[in-house]
Amino acid sequence: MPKYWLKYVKGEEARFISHLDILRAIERTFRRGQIPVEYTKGFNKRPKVSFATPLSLGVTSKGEYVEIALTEEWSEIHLEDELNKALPIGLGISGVRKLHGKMPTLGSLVKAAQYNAFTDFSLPKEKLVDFLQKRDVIITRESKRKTREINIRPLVYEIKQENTGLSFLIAQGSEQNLRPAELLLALNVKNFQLHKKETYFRIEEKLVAPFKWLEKAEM
Amino acid sequence: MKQLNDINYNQLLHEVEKPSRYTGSELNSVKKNWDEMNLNVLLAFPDIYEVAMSHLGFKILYHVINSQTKYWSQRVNMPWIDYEEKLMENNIPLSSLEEFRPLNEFDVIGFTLQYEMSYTNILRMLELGKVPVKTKDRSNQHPLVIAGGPCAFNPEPLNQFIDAFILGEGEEVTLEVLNVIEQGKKEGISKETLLENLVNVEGVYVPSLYKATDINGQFAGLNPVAEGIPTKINKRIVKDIDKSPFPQELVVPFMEIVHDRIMLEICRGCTRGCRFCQAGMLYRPVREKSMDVLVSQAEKLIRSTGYGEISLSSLSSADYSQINQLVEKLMEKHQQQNVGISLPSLRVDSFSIQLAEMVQQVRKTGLTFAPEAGTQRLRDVINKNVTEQNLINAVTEAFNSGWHKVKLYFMIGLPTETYKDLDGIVDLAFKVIKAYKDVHGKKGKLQVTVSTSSFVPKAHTPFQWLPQMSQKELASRQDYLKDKLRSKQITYNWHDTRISFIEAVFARGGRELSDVLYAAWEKGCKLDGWDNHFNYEKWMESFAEANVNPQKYAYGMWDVDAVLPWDHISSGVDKHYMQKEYKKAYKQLITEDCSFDKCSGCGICKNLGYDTKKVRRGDNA
Ligand code: SF4
Repeated sequence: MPKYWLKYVKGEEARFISHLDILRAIERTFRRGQIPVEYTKGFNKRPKVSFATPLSLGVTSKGEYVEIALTEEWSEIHLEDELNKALPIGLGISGVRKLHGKMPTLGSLVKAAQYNAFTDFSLPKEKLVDFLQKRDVIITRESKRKTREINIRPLVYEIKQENTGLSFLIAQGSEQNLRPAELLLALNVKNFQLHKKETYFRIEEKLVAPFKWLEKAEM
Repeated sequence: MKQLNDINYNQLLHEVEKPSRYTGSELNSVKKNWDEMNLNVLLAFPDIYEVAMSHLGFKILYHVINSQTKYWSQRVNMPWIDYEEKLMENNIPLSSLEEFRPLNEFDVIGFTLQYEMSYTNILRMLELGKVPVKTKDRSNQHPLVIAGGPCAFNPEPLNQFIDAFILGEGEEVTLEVLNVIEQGKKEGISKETLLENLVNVEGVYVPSLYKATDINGQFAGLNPVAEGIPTKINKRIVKDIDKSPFPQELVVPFMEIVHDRIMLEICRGCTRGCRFCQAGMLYRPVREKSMDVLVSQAEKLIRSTGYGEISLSSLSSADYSQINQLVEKLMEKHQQQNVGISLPSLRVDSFSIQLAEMVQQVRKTGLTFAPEAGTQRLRDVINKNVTEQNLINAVTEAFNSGWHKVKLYFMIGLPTETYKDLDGIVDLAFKVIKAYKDVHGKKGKLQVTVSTSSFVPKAHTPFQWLPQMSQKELASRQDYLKDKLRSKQITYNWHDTRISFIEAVFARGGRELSDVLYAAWEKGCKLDGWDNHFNYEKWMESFAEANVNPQKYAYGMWDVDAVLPWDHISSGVDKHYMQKEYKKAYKQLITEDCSFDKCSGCGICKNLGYDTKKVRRGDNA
C-alpha cells in the first residue's frame, strides 16, 4: 500500500475546528474526492490516517502533517490536486510526498515547532531579555489527576519580538512538549492569536522541516 | 461586522464551549456579495446550532433561496448561554454565520417553527440582533419577520411578533413570497402595503390583517379586516415531489450535530392516522419519491458532502413501497465507499428483519419501536394499528439476528388511559425481555429503553378538543411506571410534566398567549426546551401578569362545535373528518391507512386538488 505524507494548512476559517472534527472533515474529503484511501479492518471502518501532532483549538497553521495510505498508486501532484478540490474552506494541502521504504510514524519524529503569537500590545523588551537570561522558569502543569512543576526554559529554543507580536521556537512532541499557551502565560501575555509556522524533526543536532528530513532519510 | 480574525472576538470565542457553533464556513455554505443582492435573507432557527443544522427542511430552504442568483440566504441560530452572555457583555449584536452580519441589516428574517418551547428563543434572537420584537414597532426600515413550519398552523401565540406566516411546504411558496418582497423593496412601498400584497400569495397568513370577533362575549373567530383578504388560509403542498427542488449540496458542519448524516427524504406524509399526531395531519397526502430519483440524489449527496451515512427519512420510512429494493440498491452502489444506510424508525407491523439486517451490515444500532400505548384497547383509541404479537414477533426476529438493544416509545396521559394501560406498558417491556430469554436462554446483554412522553393535544388533530392530563396525575403515572419498570434490563425515561404543560398551553393558545410570551421573554425565559433552563415559576408569573389562565388551554375539554383559535387556518383536512375520528376514538374504531387501503375521506385531496389515486403505495397503486 503506497503511503504518503501530506503537509496541510489550517486557515482562519478552520481556526476553531477541533482536532477530532478535522479528522472527520478529512475522512469526508476522501469520499468527496473519491480518493482510494485504505480503511481499517473491522466493524467500524475508518480511513488509515495518522497525524504528526494534534493542533490546539484556536490555532492556525501552515505546518501540519498527516500520513495516509492509498489502495492504489497516485502521483503526488494528482493526489494534492484532488484533495484540494475536495477540502472545505480553511483546510488545504500544500505538499505531498510519497514514501519510499518504511518510515517511523510522524508523531514519533516531531521534536519542535515554530509559532507566531499575534498580540494586541507589545511586550517590553526587558521582559523578554529577562526570560531568556534565566536558566529556570518553573510553571505548574495540571493534567487530569496530578499537578506537576516543570522547567520550561530549556524547552524554549528561541523567542523574537516582531512588529505584530512574538515568534518562538519551542520543544514539541512525545518526549518533551511545551504548549505555546504555557509560554505566553509565563510571559504574562493574555490576548493572543496563535499561528504555527512549521513543525520540525531532528537530524543529529539540527532541526529540519519534515520534507527535508524525508529527503535526507531516503538518501 | 465582526471578523473571525479580530483578536478580541477571537478571545471571546476561546472562552465559549464549542466555538464552531458560531464560526460558519462549513462545507457547502454559501457566500455571495451582499451589495449585489436584490434581497438578503436570513434563515433563523430558534434552537442551538446542533439542532438547527440537523433539520432537513431548514437546509433545503437555504439552498432553494440560494439557487436564485439575486437572493442570498444566510443562517443564524439561538446561541448557547455562554456565547449569549459574551455578546451582551461586549455589546456585540447577534449575527449571521456566513459573514457575521447583524440581524437588523437583513431584508427578511425567516424563522422555522418546530416546537412551541422555542418561542421565547425567537424573541431573544430578535432582541440580540437589535430588531424590535413586536411587529408594530418595525417599519420597512427593519427586516420583515416571517415564519413557517408545523407550529405556524396555530400562529396566534406569535401574532404580535411575526409579520407573516407561511403555511405548509416551503419549497415553492418561499420564492413566491420573496418575489413579492423584492418587488416591494424596489418600489419602496410601506410595510403595510407589502403585507397586503403578501396575502395574495396562497398559503400566506398576515395576522395584522385579521381581527377577532365575538358573539355575546364568546370568541367567534378571526376575520379579515377588509374585503379581498381570504377568510381561510390554505396550506401549500408540493404536488410533484420528484420534481420539487432538492439540493444537490447540503451544508456539512465541522462539529458533530444531532443528525450527522445525509438525510434523504424518501416520502412525504404519513396516513397511518394516529389520532394524536399533528405531523400525520399536516403533511398529508402521502407522496413517495421514485426510486430512480432517490438513487441519483443519494449519489450526488455523497459526492458533495462526503458523509458516510444516509438516513432514509420520512414519517414512516418502512412504509415506502420499494424500501427493500431501495436499500439494496443503495448498499450495492455505495458499500465500496463505506457508506452506511440507516432508517430513523421502524414500524412494528411493517418491520422486516431482512431490511434491518441489510441496514446493519454497516452499523449496528439499537432498534426503535413506537407502540405508543400499552394495551390493544388504547391503541385502538389512538388508531395505532399494531398488535402486541407484531411487536413480539419483530423483537424475536431481531434478537435472533443478534440485536441486543431495543427502544420502546410510549405516550402517557392519552385520552381514556387508565392504570391498566400503564400495566400494559410494563407487560410489554417484560415480554420483550422474555422474548430475549427465549432466544438466548438468558438475559445476557439485553438493554430495553422505555421512554414515555406526555400527551399534548395539538391543533388540527382529532384530539384537539381534548384536555391534557393534569401535571399531578401525569407525575403519579410516571412514578407508577418508575416503580413497576424496575429491572436491570430496563431504563425508563420520562418528560418533565411542567414543560409538557406549557407546551399544551401554547399548542392550543389564542392571541392572548402572545402577551404571556412577551412577559416571559421580558423575564428572561429562553431555551425552555432544555430542562436545565426551563423556569416554571417565571412562566407562572407571566400568565398572571397577562391575566391568562393557562389551565383553560391545557385542561379545557372543548366542545367539538366551538370556534377554535386556528379555525381560519386550514391544513386541508376537513374539520368534519376530525370530529368523526374523535368520535371513532371513543368507540375504539380503527381507520385504515389510505395509502394502503381505500380513501378514508379526510378531504385533503379534494381540497388541495390532488388525485386520491396517487396516494396509493405499492401493489395498490
Ligand atoms: S383525501 Fe382520502 S386519499 Fe387523500 S389523504 Fe385523505 S384519506 Fe387519503
